[in-house]
Amino acid sequence: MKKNNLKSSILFISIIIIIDITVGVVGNKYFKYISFGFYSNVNNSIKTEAEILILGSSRAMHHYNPEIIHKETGFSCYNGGTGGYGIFLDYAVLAEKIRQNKIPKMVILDISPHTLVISENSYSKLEKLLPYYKQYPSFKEVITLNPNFSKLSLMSNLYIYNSTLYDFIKSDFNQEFKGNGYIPINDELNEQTFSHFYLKENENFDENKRNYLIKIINVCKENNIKLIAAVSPNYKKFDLKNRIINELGEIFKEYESDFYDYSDFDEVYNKSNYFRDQLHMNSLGSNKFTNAIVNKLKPTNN
Amino acid sequence: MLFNSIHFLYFYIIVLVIYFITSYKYRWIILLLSSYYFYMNWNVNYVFLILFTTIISYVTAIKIENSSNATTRKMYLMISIVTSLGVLFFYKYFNFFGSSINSLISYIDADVKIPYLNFLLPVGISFYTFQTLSYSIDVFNNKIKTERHFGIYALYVSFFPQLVAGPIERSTRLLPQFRERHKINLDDFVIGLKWVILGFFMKLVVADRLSLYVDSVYNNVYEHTGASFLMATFLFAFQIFGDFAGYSSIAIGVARIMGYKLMTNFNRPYFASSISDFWRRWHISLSTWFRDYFYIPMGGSKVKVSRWYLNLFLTFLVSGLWHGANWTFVVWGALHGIYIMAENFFKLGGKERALSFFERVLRGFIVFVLADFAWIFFRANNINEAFYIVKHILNINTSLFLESRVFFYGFIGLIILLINDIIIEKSHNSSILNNKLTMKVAAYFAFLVCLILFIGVFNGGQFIYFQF
Repeated sequence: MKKNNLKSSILFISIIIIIDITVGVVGNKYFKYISFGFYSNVNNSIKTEAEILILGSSRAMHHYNPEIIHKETGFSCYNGGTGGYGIFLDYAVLAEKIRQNKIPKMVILDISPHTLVISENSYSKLEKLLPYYKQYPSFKEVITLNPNFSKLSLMSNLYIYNSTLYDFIKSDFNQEFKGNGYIPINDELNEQTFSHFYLKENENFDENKRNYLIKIINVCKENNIKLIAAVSPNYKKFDLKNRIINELGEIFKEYESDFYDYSDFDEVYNKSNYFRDQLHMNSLGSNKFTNAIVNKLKPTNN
Repeated sequence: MLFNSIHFLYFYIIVLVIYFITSYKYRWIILLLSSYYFYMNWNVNYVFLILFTTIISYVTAIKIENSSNATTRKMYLMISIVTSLGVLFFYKYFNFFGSSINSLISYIDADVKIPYLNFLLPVGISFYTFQTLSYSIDVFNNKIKTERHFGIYALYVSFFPQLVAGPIERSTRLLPQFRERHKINLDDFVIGLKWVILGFFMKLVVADRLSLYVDSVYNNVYEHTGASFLMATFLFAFQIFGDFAGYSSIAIGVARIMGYKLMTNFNRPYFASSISDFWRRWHISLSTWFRDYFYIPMGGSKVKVSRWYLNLFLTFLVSGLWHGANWTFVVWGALHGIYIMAENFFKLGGKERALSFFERVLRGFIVFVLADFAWIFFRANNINEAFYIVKHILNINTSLFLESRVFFYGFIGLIILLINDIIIEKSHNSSILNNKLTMKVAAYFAFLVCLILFIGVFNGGQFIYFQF
């Protein structure tokens, strides 16, 4: 009986190891080609050879129209904004592009009002980046900012690729790279979609986020990438605006990098027909804004 | 400390190692200390509450046993019951009854208000209170001898695998096990591990995945419509089952690895062919507790028919209230009370006779629909929202809130759980879980481990029954 137990136990462990290794091999080979949902966004941002890369959160994704930028500057442009993410993912993507020698000429970094604020959510969301943990060193670096991922669990490929099966199944692996990453919003702001973004008076800023913002500035400098950082328009004045803009202004001033505050951009400010909610412009607003910011990009064309 | 946390894994491995290298004589100390540490991870202060309940029930039980005077014995039993239930009432029901009375008073314009007390509900208070109550009552009824070793008795009240969400163990079963000499046993280890794996599968793959949909709908009731209510209510039936049966399964497995046998708490309830059968399969440790310490002492079925129905109804009503201090739980309990009364009135329950496959499926479907309807009240955040859902749930010509990922992963989990339960149901003796490891079974559990890692939800949070 003991012999049977031993045999079965060996089988039990072997099956787990074999499946784990198989998932790891398949994941490492094919994950970078996923063309569905969140991972498609990240993969495309790394893959694109566009000369101008837009990085940031959902505000970046909805606020910058690459077609207008391309038309006005002559540079190819890709919008790599990713909903719900910010500085950490921006850095990971940029560093990985540099490692793969897909270096853009210019990066437009959209900074959300809450970018520097301490938020546990910013760290828990890193869980979604786990499939890149073993593939890309810069992703590994940011993932480990969350101390809750135990080294033990990160050893398992099954855990790393947790909940990615659906994305695999929905992906078309023969699909050519297409699109420019921009997702326009067609709705208009109304009572139902309006939600004020609240920040407390005594809100502290996150040192990690500050450091990674500085890392982005430095990486761009080291690789001769022109960096344009901007806070894109808000519907109304956001909480702690002065503190946040001052803090950002000081960082960019210290590192001699361009920073523009468009949060109260007068062409759209307080005009509900240009917004879907407090933080997101619709396509009308984003076209107006892109036309405005494109002027800041033009000098690099000379 | 949650079972589904890496913290628990480290804690358990350390406890296991120390437990097995310690002499039999002192193992109770290891288990008691680790149980208190386990509990203190929720709230350090509430450890004094559990200690208080333990001391009172320990002392009164000895006083009961030592006394031959019926009145004195009864007095000590009352002290024990009133103290345990008093603590439970104060922490769990004071605010509920207070706010209900305040609402009533507001109708008569009186200028009196019962204050709201701001404190957290001690985790697992309903479970360990019931465990101490059954002990005191059993001692009073001379069913068991008292446990004179305070440390071992304290361990019986606080044994960490089942402390916060059961199974509610009886002293007759659990106490003697603390005096047994448990050697490292490969069979226990394998059986325990299988229970743990199945529990994690139910919790992480089924319950926590489905909760993503259920919570979206039930926490934003007025933003959803009939079709979504119907889907969320259907899924909640499996979420609550996966969550609670999953917890019980992990508890049984964790204890078994150390050599302790806890009672089975769930026997595939959705295969029940009547409501009575459902309650023989759902949260067995609680339903048998209510049967033995509430329903039977009130006369059970050996009274006039009208009183029997009242006994049935009250048992379920109180059981509903046991679950939570909210009118939603009262209605949930009342609904089951009404179901049981109707079933007995029409003689649909009772001992199972041989049913044809078709009859079984039909009865199973009806039981599921009735139980699921009652779950609306169990899950809803308040009674108004519950009635809002009931009012709109059949408007199914409305758009369904779609969460493709939840459906995809959730239904994978549900299908595997269904196959798993069919196999166990057909084998009649839980053979996959309790028999020795065969190659087939080993492969099956390895597959479950892979599924847990690959499609489980690892940030799902705590178990639903912790709030009770």
